[in-house]
Amino acid sequence: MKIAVLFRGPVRPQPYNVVERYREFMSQFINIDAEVTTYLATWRQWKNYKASDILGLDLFDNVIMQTEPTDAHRERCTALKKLQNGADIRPVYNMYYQSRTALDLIVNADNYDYIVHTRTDLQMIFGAHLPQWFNSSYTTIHAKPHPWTCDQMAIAPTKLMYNAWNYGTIEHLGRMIEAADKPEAVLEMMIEDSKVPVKTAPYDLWRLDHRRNM
Amino acid sequence: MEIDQIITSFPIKEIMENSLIKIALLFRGPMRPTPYATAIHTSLLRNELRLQGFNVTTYLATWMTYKNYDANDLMSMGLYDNIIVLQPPSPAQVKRCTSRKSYGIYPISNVFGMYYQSKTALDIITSADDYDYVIHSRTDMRVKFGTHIHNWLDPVNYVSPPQTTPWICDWIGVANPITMKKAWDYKTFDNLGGLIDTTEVPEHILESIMKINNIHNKTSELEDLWLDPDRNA
Repeated sequence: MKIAVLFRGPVRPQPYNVVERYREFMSQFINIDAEVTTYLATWRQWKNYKASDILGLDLFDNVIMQTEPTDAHRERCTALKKLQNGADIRPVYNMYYQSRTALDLIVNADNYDYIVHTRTDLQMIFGAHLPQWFNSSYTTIHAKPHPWTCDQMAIAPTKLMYNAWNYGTIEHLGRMIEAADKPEAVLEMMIEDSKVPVKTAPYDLWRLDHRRNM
Repeated sequence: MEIDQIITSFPIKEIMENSLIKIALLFRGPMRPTPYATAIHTSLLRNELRLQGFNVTTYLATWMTYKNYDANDLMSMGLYDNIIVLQPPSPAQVKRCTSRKSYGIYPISNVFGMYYQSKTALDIITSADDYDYVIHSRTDMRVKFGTHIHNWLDPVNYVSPPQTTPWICDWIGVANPITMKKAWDYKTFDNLGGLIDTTEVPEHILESIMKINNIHNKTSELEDLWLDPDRNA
């Protein structure tokens, strides 16, 4: 079995925290019978921190580091500044754009059976439940309608992962963002449009770094 | 030369006009002969363009390893604005595309890798920002445009160095983003495989794609174009 593990997001709260998250997360994949390849998709800078500080550490097999999209770039997608729930558009657009860019690259790079798609600032311990996450659905932490589909971490067969995050054109992403009441609603729309089956699986620990915006 | 002499030797009006031109400067290929050579080539060309006032964003598309070198040193320098560093294509990946083993002395993986890496980078560049031009250069080459730069910034054509061979030079090209993307867009791996299987030299692939996509080529002089003779050492 071939697995691609994608870490995406800023190097936050600090670059070395991403290193800790990476090491802890990947330690869960050491004893499974699979060929595992890692990808990092991140921005060049997060606040005063530079991604280059961790790129010399020989952690990731593949790296996509981009300059964060400008306001003008985002405005090609939508003129909206905030979602209906008050969330700033910037991180929402960035998340979808970065995920899609990375997934485009991953599906062209090799014939992976599964993609594990997680964040750089997320602590996720599967424990003995890990095998349950590898099945024929898009498997995540919680899913619509209880309370919505989580966009922080998922494991899915390659085609389902790609379809779940494939917004088509930037203009179409803009229309979905404008119709969304919360950031996760865009993912839900794409999953519905492409008829991706979704399920949840148990875990031992799910914790987003509370210092991520500090 | 004193710094104020250097500053006054540049035509300020031209620098101000150039500053409105957004250029994506892509270096693609293995970091050879060493990562440091690649860094020097990048710095020289980037600095030349910035001194002329252009708004330059750098991209590196390379493989994670080349011989005994790995890209970590290059990535940690903070030299590039954007980095796409991938594992070199596996034999299985190349085999999905073509059963051909070589182009003369060149292993097929080199040719597959060049087109795959270029398309991957250009897909990202064209979705990342509204650049006016893309400069698409090899990593193992020193380039200086000098006073010829505006001949290279052609809004319509794909510009390449003067031909010393019967085919278009694929070492460096400049075009607007749409033209550049189309010139290297083989669409699918099956298409790329078909082109690899039916062409005699690797550069014919670029020519074939350009012909299919109706991209016109023109050539222009450079002040310096030096392909590192140690690139395969």
